Amino acid sequence: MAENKQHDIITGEDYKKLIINAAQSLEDNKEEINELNVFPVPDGDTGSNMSLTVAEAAKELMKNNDMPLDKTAEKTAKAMLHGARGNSGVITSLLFRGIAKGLSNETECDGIAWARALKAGVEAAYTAVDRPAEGTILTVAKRCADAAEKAAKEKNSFEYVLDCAINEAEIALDDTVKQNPVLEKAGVVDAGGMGWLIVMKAMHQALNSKKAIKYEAKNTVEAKERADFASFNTEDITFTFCTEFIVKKHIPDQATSDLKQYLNGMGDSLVMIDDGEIIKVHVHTNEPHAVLGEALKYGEYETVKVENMRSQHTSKLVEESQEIKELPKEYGFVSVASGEGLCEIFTELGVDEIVSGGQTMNPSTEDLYSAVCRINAKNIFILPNNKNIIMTSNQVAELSDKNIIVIPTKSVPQGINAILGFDEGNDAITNEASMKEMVDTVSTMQITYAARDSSYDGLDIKEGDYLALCEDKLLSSNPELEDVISNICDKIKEQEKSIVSIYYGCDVTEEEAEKTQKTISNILDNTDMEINLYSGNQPVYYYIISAE
Amino acid sequence: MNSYILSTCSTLDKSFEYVKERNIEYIKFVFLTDGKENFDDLGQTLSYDKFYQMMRDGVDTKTSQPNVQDYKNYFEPFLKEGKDVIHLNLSSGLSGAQTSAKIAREELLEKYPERKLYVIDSLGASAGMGLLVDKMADLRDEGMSIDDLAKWAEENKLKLHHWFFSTDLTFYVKGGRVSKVAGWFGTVLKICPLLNMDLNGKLIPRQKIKGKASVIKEIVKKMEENAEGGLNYNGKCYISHADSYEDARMVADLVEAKFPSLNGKVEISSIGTTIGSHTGPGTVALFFFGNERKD
Repeated sequence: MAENKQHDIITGEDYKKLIINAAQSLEDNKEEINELNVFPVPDGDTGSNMSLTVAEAAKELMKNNDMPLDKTAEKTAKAMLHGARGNSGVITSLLFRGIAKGLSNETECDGIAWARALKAGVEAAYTAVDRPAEGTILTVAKRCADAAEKAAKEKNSFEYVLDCAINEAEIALDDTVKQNPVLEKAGVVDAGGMGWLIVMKAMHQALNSKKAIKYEAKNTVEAKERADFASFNTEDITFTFCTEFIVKKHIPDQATSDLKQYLNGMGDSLVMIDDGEIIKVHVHTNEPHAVLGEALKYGEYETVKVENMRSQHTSKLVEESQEIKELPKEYGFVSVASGEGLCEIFTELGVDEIVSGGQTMNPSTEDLYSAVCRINAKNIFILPNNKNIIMTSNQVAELSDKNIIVIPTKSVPQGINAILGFDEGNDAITNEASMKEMVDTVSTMQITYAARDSSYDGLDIKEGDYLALCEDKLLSSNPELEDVISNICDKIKEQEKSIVSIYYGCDVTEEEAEKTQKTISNILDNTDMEINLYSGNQPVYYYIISAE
Repeated sequence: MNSYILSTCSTLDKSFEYVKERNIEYIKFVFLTDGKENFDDLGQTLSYDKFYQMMRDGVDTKTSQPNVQDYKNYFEPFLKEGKDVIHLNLSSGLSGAQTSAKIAREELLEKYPERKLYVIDSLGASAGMGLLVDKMADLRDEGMSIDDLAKWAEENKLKLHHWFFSTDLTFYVKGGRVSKVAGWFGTVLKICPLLNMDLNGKLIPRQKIKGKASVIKEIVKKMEENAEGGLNYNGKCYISHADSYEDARMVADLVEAKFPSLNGKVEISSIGTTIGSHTGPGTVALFFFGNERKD
């Protein structure tokens, strides 16, 4: 250390350095954190999720210079809120949000302020978690904050307080093994807690760093995952005729989704209102004759208006057309899924927006929020379909003005069943209850592979072994597929179930899947049981099997 | 004693022999196969097997409701003979035929002011209309006057329950008679929606059920919940089906086992060409008298 000076007070510019270094340190150490995940399931891992969450803040801060402390902390919190992935990411973002609250209206932060901020962070995080469990990032952060509070009374210095907090975090992290039975069986410390320790340490290290502090991501997975969402709503004026008409339907309540689809393919700026009796359409197209012809199939015209937008009288018309704003529908759905087959199933069930992820990368709050924004509905149900996406989904409710209802589905079959419990005719509260009820009628088993060697509860797991999971618990691991299938069948037999659905992943061929279906059918040996096979094309999970 | 005419539409989905035996007249609806007009004459000209095979083979089916003139042509001969008519029409929630029938009635009554012509909106369809008109035939035979029968029909029509499911939703989507809302048409997942007819005589999807075995159990449960007298129901029970006799039989067996006081065995008939043009093959419908439809 070049200088022995204590950093008693930090500024906004210091805070920025601290956050950027925390992001870099998480990025550098994410694999180490990932390996702490109890089951070696190749899911979105804690380390990657935390790293991506904090990285959002680092990237945001790098765009801004010389901001006051409170603004810096606020920007940090906001970026993390949007970028949060996975439960640990959400908790991290909440911790920083509380910190920002603790630092509001401050230009500098001393030891007392820092202790107060850490405490506010912990409070924010605890209130957001339904059932705070011992031996997690929450307990580590809480003991950190408690130690900071004590230290601030001894010496009002930022660095001293942070130092004491880190010392306590180390002990608290070691204690997580004993606090959580699952961790105890695996003999590891909590991954999220480890992440928090790394954040604190990196912040401390940045205080004394002589080197320029910057953030560089190691790979660009994220950019790839997000590329899908670009290029919506580009307003090129390539369609000449503004075409408006009202059709009175031959058959009231006849479905018009096909017409909408057709119109979407014929031009842009489509506004279509269907109130059951009449259809009102506004569209810009180059082929008004074709559009009008198609609409005739649904009924007869009440009015028709076609205008060349390149001629003079257009501005007034455009103004008028903008008055036709489609009324929001009552209900919309966002579901998380990956794999063409699963996406198709959800689309067919009426899901408006599918957010990619679940089996591999966990989507961020922002990903889910922008999906919600694209739906014109009053009430929007989110189906996370993964335990690690539920908290992220809950965060969307805070960002959106719409009524967001998260049905806490932990698997794809639970998500499917939730939709089956939905009834357009019921109010949102009734629907929420019946959807949740339907979720509980299905049990989910999944087969994947071990991403690395590991041991759990005396079980030796070798990289590449088949892993069978029941709900979110490890059922068995074995190098032979047939053995894990037989374990799953035993589990199904224990329960009184009549329908088994098998969704096979993208790494399984149809022939292999049919063979598996046969094996399951033979083992279950029950003629009353329906066993259906679907192509899910999902990555990572060879099979998702549900019984209900 | 009672010389009035009891009449309904060919959409009652009972056999030709049945209507002859019960002395029920019916107006033939028109259905089109690849644009060609056919009369729905309760399967006499075109057998139901053949009809559903045509649909499976991709023949385009449409229906054309009788217009005012068709109704006038149908009603007039009865009135001319000096007979009064009580006509039970297909639900106004499914077809505009009710409007045509009423206009025809008004025009005819101007010409035959001394006659009675009741046009009753059944708010029902298929063998649900069948079961209602069957009961009306009983009351007629017991000597009820036409005025009282019209009153009885209006007061009791909403007690007729229609519950149905389909194992093949292709034609429902195409026909647009059921509004396509979130999740009702999970064809990939083989979802069998359970629907019923609401108090406005419209078809409403009520529950989404995975798998045929489950939906068959569920439809019988609906009868347990809604039938007059619950498990002691002692009225008649009709089932109609579109080329799905085996599924219909399974429902019938369950009903017969659950309701020991049933009036006779469950009567199974085929969904005819008019209703069938919209459902396509795969539909099974269950009808019974129960509590009044509330929604």
